[in-house]
Amino acid sequence: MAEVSVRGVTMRFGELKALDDVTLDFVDGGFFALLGPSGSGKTTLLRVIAGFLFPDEGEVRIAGQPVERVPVEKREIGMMFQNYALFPNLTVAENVGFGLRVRHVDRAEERRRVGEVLELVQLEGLGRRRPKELSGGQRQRVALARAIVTNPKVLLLDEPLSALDKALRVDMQIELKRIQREVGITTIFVTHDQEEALTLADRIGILRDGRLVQAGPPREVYNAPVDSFAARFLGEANLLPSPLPDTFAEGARLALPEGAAAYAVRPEALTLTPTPPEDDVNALPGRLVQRVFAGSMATCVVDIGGGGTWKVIDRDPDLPQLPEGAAVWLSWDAEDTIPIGAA
Amino acid sequence: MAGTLNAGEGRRAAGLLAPAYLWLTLAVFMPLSAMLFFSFLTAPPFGNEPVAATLANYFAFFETGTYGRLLWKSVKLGLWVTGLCILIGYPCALVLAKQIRGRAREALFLLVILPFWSNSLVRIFSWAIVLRGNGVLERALDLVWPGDVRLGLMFTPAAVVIGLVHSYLPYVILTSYLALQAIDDDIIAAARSLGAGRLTILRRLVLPLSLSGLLAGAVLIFVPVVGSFMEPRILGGRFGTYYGTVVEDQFVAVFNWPLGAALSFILLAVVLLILALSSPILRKGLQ
Repeated sequence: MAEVSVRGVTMRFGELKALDDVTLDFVDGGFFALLGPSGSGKTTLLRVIAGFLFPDEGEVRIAGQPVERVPVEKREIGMMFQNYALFPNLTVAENVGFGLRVRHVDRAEERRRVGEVLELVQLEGLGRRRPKELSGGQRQRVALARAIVTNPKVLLLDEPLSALDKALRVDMQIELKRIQREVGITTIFVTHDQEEALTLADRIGILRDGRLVQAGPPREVYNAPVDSFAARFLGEANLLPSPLPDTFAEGARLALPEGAAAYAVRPEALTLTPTPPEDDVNALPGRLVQRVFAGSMATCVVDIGGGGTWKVIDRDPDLPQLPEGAAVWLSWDAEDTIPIGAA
Repeated sequence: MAGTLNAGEGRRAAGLLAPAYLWLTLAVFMPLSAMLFFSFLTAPPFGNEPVAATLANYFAFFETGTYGRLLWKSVKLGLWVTGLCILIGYPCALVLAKQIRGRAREALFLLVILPFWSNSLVRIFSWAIVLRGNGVLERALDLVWPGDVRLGLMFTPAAVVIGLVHSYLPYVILTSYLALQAIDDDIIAAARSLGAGRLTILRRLVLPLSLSGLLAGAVLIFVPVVGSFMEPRILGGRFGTYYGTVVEDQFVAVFNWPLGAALSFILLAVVLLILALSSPILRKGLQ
């Protein structure tokens, strides 16, 4: 277990800069999520940390040691792949024991540690099965067991849960978090699923076009995004440009703080009413375009004249059923306005 | 499969399979049956001699040790050629499938398949020109090596092996390539992340996972090489008498078709026996 640090890492593939001067610290024992759309460089960064790719510039340290020119097989990392990459010709126990066999751990010790780690991932008794005889969730656990059995310094996960269906994914998120806490291993995982990042990670980093947009604890990034990309990528956000165009929502009542490049309002901070709100709050008139009921809440799309459409998450079950096309008001408290960047 | 087909699907399947079965019947089953029939005759049925049924052609194989020795020589030739093809072809397929990407791979593939595009007789005579005394190979070596180079390769078993390896190498490359191609790159990446070196990955993962292709290629080479006659005849000279050449002689020189047919079926039986004996290994590899 160790901290990982990445300093000024640049990675080029021909003309394309897959990573552009990325600097990030991963604390010892932390659970770090690298978040970004496809092509943002998050998987490239993971592969640079793993040692599959050597960066063109910059340095990578694991436990204080510079490793940017050390190949993956010498880096003492554990990695879990998107498709699990289990060895189909080996049994579960042989898969998990592979890293120990490579290290010439004696057979009795190998059996003991494989048994231990299979118990940790709740697969005891399945050691003799072949990967193709396992369910998706079980394969996932084997891949995890195989990655941690050698006590690596850092655990790297490449979209580990994306191949599972929704219900199983949520279960596995809880499992993964439990196992990571129990083992206490520094974990870096790549995902494009912001919900997964928020559930699992204690720190997240958002990447876009090979650059690090923002890094920090999820709540901090969520509450104070540095730009509109970060605001939209982590959770949903309705954006107000600054300054507001003249055609913007006639009749709006807005009191916005000075000096920001834009403002964001989270869908769940908005209140939807059929009449103008009385209180001294920010308010926008609009027209209800769509209302989608989803159990405990409804998601509404409201057309703001000149300001595009806004999304509202409405948790008030008693709200009268407004027909689509009805005139509505959106309102929110002043402290729910998130200023983004400096003007 | 058949159990899950309903009547309509069964008819459609039969319809779709009919051309293949028809072809097999015409091209394989009928000529083979005719040969089997000939092998029990005293003379070719279209000659002038009277024809009767006999087992003498099969007994002829055991009456002298010559046929058995030649068969063993041919089997050894098959083992040599198959072994060399694997040694040369498998690494080649490995590099093609796992190291080279894009256009370079297409270009190399073309070079691998190139021997298939030329007539096999032309190919063998080209080798004769290369290998003969004072031929292309010796002259080329003369240019770079001081003194007179005499390899004396032509009309030796080595020349036969060289010609056969060249002819059959593409089989093992293509079948191994297909099997290697099917191995997910992430499997190799995962093994590396666990600390495995190249040799460990080859021995524990790549080789077992591509063994099916390698064995398919080996069978494809071994079977025709054991019966080969053209390469031994042209490149082997006085060493070029193999089981296949003797069989050929019965058909084209001696005009003893029944004996040729009987010898052919003995060869077929021996090859099938070898494959059957090695099938536990093959089956293990194909898992």
